[in-house]
Amino acid sequence: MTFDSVLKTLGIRSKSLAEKVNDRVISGYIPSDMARAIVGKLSSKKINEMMSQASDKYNFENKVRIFKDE
Amino acid sequence: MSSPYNQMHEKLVKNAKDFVGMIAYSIYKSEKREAIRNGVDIASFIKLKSQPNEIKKYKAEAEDLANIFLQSAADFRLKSVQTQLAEQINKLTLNNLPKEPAYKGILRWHTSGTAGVIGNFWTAVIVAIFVWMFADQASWDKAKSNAVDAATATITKIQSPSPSGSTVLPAGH
Repeated sequence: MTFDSVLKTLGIRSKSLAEKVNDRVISGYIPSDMARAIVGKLSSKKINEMMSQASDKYNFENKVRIFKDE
Repeated sequence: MSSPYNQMHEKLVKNAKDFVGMIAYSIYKSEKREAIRNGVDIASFIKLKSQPNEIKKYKAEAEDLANIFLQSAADFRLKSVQTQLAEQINKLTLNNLPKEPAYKGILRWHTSGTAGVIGNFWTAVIVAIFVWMFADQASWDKAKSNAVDAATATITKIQSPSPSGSTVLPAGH
């Protein structure tokens, strides 16, 4: 367990959206009907496109490289 | 020469940007690990899981999982939007409420916070009116002069308090 995760567990440092979503899904969270209606059911192709765009944007803004095949 | 290996990764993950395929491969690896722990013959496990319908099942599971993640993220955003919306509606409603005139505020002050003091005042006024109505002129004059004397004495006492309350030190000290 890292120092960062201890701070987040104690609630001193706030968790990122990805961490919050991950925690929810792990604990068996069922999305609301409204969220299902808004998001719908996306295909693998669409999800991959979205992830690619998101990682490109993140890499551009943060000058780091993740999901990069090097 | 590289040793032969099962082509599961190639079957599930198309390229380095196939995010859903990577999730599918993770599900496969998790199942494989569980099979090894339970002593299942790994060769037959791989053979079974390499079938097209199994590959399709892994991909469908991964797609469902990714959708659940996206929907859960949407739920977070929805919650914050709902909170903001409720605050805005609350503010809007308060701003559009009719402003009450000043006399209503005075009336509320009269009947709430200082009701006890004001009640005592009105009781005294009503009693005075009854005395004025039913008493003869001499009694009224006497009551009035008594009240004025009492008030004057009280005011005088407040303005110049008697020295009896002060401490007198003995001589020589």
